[in-house]
Amino acid sequence: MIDRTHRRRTALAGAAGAGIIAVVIALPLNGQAAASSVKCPQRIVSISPTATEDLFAIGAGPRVVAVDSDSNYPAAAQRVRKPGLVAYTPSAEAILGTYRPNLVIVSYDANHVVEGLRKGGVRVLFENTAANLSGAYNQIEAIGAATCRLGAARAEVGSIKRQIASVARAARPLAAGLTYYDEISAPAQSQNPYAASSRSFIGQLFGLLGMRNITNDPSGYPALSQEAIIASNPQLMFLSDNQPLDGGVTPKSVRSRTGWSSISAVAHNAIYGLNDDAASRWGPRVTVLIRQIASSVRTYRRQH
Amino acid sequence: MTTVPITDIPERAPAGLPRVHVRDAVLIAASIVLLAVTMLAGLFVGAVNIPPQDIVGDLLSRIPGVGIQSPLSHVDQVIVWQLRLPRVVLGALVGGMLALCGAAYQGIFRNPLADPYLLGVAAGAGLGATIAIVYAISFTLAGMGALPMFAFAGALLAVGLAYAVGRSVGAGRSATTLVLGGVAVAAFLTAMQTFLQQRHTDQLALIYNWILGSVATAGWSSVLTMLPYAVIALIVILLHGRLLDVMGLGDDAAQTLGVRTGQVRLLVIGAVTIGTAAAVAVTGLIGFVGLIVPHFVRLLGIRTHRTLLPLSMLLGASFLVLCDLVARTVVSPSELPIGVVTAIIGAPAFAMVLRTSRVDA
Repeated sequence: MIDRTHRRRTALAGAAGAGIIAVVIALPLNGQAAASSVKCPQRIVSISPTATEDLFAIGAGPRVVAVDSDSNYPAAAQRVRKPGLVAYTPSAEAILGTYRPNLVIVSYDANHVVEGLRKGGVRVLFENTAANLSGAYNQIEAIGAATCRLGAARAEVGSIKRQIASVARAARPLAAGLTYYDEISAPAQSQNPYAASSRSFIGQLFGLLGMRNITNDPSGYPALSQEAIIASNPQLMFLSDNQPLDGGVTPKSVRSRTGWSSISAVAHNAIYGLNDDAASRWGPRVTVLIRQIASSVRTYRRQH
Repeated sequence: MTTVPITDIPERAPAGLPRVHVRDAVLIAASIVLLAVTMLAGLFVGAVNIPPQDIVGDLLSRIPGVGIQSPLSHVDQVIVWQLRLPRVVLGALVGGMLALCGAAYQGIFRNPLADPYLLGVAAGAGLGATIAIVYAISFTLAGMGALPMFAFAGALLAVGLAYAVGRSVGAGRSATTLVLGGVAVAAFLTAMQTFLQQRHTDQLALIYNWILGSVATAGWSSVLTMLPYAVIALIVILLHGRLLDVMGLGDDAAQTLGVRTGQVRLLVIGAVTIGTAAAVAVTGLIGFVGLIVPHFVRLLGIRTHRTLLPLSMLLGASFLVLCDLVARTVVSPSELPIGVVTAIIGAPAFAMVLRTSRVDA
């Protein structure tokens, strides 16, 4: 009997001890995270190809210590590109421990990375895919504000706006009214391809030139039936995913699709590849994108 | 109708069984040790190399009056106590819950292919999570974010529907109609999820990431969110251990022994659903654990649910902690989806046990 009581007491003491240790561990950690706020971040990590382009465009590049595997532009970013840092499967522990950042910019919050980094006292900018140009401008300025480069960021935004306006002004007379189809992802076998509609980010650029998208789907990136594409008979076709090496399509592969030869754009060879990366980001290279569109229209007008 | 009190079912067969009891106790003790070892390994090993002695030193420095300086920097402290430890604990909790629930379902449905997702938990949670993601629903209620809450609600709804459909068919008490109800509900909800995904392709990566599952967490909120449901499920399921043995004889035989099979099934389904839904809500869909771990335990020769259930839980916990350790270190600074690791490590290991085992599972 005594023995049993003793054992129970030991067990109770053990449980109490474990509880105390747990509290001791947990207490000092709460509230520490907020303490280390850095005014001008000296160690910046970008896990967003768009943010990487923004950072280098506004002169914060020298303070960037690591960028993700997809951040392939500009050339200066290559020096700090980390092939193992994949935006879709980030590890807060690895980012904190390996790069010791004081600012991290992400466009995608997987694995609780945002919360984990903030717990580590790191400032995190979560810059989700921009829906339109003004969203993209806001992000550049937000990144400028966070990196003490607000003036440069505002100047960059002003420059992008001026370039876009001037390209649009020059190309609009040629482009207005042309119908187009922008394919962002090829159909696998007999499946339906995904298009960028007039309501998408890139659709807005086409709209500035007065061009008419074959779809105004509000989701931005609908899967269209091949039947609908053929029936809408676009005059121009743009390919945003046109690198055969990573599964993209080429004008040749589009021409070989069954039934597509009746589409005006295919019949008249008006299929144009866009810069894959510029077409899928919302950074400073929107100017590259709109220039490509304008030059495709000029080519089209010369030939027809 | 006479009802035989449950306690009248003989607790042990007259001969030979004490040895089995000793063996079971030894196995459970060994599993507890194994879990402790894997959890310590999970705490000491990570994407960032922090020496174990420094972690111990940091722990000692927190004890008032010891008066030693922590050898860890602030960032390392956050990594160890706010990122790694909660993750290890969550992995153990989820792995244990899935394996326990799998064992319980295999018991009440007398179906070796039953896993915790059998009645549509995965499909319902998937639809709930997809809705939260594509409509960018964001709020926090009682420490629970919108995504886990939608996933949790979706899972409960799916199983409720499956149960209603199953009960509405004929006699309604048979396990098979419940399973078929689950199949129908899962197909319907998965189709709705696919439709939503297809309408919101820009969010595909996030949905996909959730489906693949991950015990990555930051801080203790996920653990605390899941804990109460896990405890309820654990208590209810473990209390039904002996009844599951009886139900293994078949519904008719169990009923003649006085077991209300419909009621037991409903209670166990309720407990499994709450436990699995909570696990899925915080970590996404992690496959394989709930199916394979209970079979592994059976291959060890364990038959009675009173041993099978706790042993499955302990080994499931160790297994998932170990898989997560692999998932977060082999491709660091990136991570592997944990579902990939559970299958890549688990399937060959299980096949080997299956080959060498002489026990008929």
